[in-house]
Amino acid sequence: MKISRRVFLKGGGVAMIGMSAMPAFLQRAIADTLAPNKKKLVVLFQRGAMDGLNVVVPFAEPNYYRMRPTIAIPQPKSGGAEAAIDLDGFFGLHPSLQPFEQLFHSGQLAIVQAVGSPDPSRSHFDAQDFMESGTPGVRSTDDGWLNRSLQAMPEEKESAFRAVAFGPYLPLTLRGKASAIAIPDLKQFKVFGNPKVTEGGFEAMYAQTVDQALHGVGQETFEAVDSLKKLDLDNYQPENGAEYPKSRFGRSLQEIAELLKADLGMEVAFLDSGGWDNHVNEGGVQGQLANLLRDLSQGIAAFHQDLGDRMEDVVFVSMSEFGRTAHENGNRGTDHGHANCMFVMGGGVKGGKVYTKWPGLSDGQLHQDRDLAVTTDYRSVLGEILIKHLGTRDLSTVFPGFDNDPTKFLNILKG
Amino acid sequence: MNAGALLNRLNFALTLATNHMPGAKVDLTELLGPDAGANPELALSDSLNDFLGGDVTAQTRATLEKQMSDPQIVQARLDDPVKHVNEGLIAGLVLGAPEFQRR
Repeated sequence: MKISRRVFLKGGGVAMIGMSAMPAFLQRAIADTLAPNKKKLVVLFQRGAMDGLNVVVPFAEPNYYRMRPTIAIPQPKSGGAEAAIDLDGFFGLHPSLQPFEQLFHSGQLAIVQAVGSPDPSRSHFDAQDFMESGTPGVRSTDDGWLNRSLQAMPEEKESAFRAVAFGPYLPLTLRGKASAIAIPDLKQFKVFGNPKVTEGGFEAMYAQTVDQALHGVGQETFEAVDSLKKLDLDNYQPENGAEYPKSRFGRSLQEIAELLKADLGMEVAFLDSGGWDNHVNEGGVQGQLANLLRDLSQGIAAFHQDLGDRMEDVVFVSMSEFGRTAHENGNRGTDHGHANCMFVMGGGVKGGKVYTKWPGLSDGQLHQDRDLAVTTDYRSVLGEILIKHLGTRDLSTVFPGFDNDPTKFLNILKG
Repeated sequence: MNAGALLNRLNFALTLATNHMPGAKVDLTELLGPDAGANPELALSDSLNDFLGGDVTAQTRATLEKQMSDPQIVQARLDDPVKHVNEGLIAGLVLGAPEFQRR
């Protein structure tokens, strides 16, 4: 019988030895093996390229107002709900992000500005693929950075819910050799029809099949279905007075909270939101972008409130494939640009700060003379989260070809 | 294939075969023959032949045969001696079988 190191340690093979008498490296090894990683990561992808300059507004940058005569967000000094919410005297939040104000100033929410993929593509499809694969500019990568990070931390007996995408399809971010599931709706994650006939019949067939791959995925599927049956999904009550928006985004966040609280072994959750591609009538303080941001901030704030103390073990991070042009266009919108902003929230996050190497918006400072330049590679932000929060030891397979030097992290997280 | 994808396939098979797929109509009487509607064993045998070419393991066949006496499949009523076999459910189970996923 082959006994792995982890099985040996978990099986108490060293129990006869007093921990205090053990060398420190062995104590650490045992602790690492026995303690389940309770840290969770929630990843949001905002598809369509959010206009980061109107989300985290550089209100002290005069060029911003010159470039956006009809859609710019007024400076905070103009006051009221029709102006940016001052963060640090230079950047302000779009007023629709008001629920973020308290999260930011209480140190729970950090913002990274002028961040993105170094690849200059302005194609949504290419840029999303590059960002999700974690290999900008490389079209041949067929798995995602988050899946590879799971591969780098294999588990003996992993939950069917270890990696969950809340949507109808598994996104590239989570595609790969590590097991991950897509759930469009928790309540619909079941076998249709009479359970005794359909679920019972399928479960029996997949339990006895000699095809190892189908046997495994069948077992995973029916275990997951059984686990969800035990949750009282119809009567879920968010805690601490949290109220999720009645949108797909809000529902997905609530379902993530439900699964996290149910402690079914979910380590990473992925969700996405669309509608950010505002070429026409983007709006300023009010309008299309404002509506999307209201949904975004209300959902995330509700998620934070609902999880309460559990948020200590959770990090939430957002990204979008690229930013938008610094100048507004002739249709009171913006076109495909380059750098954007990311939100990072949760336990261990050193919030209350806009992390940026601000490149400026003057002539000569713009990327290709039209866009906010990328001064922070998004992989640096994600890499820091993976190492400091999830405990990934080696990023070389997660972000191959990238300088994953931890000394170059922005230090958004403690530790 | 992951758990979500398998579940989608199983539910697609059931939804299609039981004619709950909007815009799609499956005529199982045409496929399985007129006698299958009153004989669950025949409906299963024909489904296995039609959809899997009879290429099914003894275990899968035995599992499916066990289901053929379930009231949901037979749909027999005390006041009606004629069985109204749920051919759609049988076909859905066959289309969701591991052997079909490998094809």
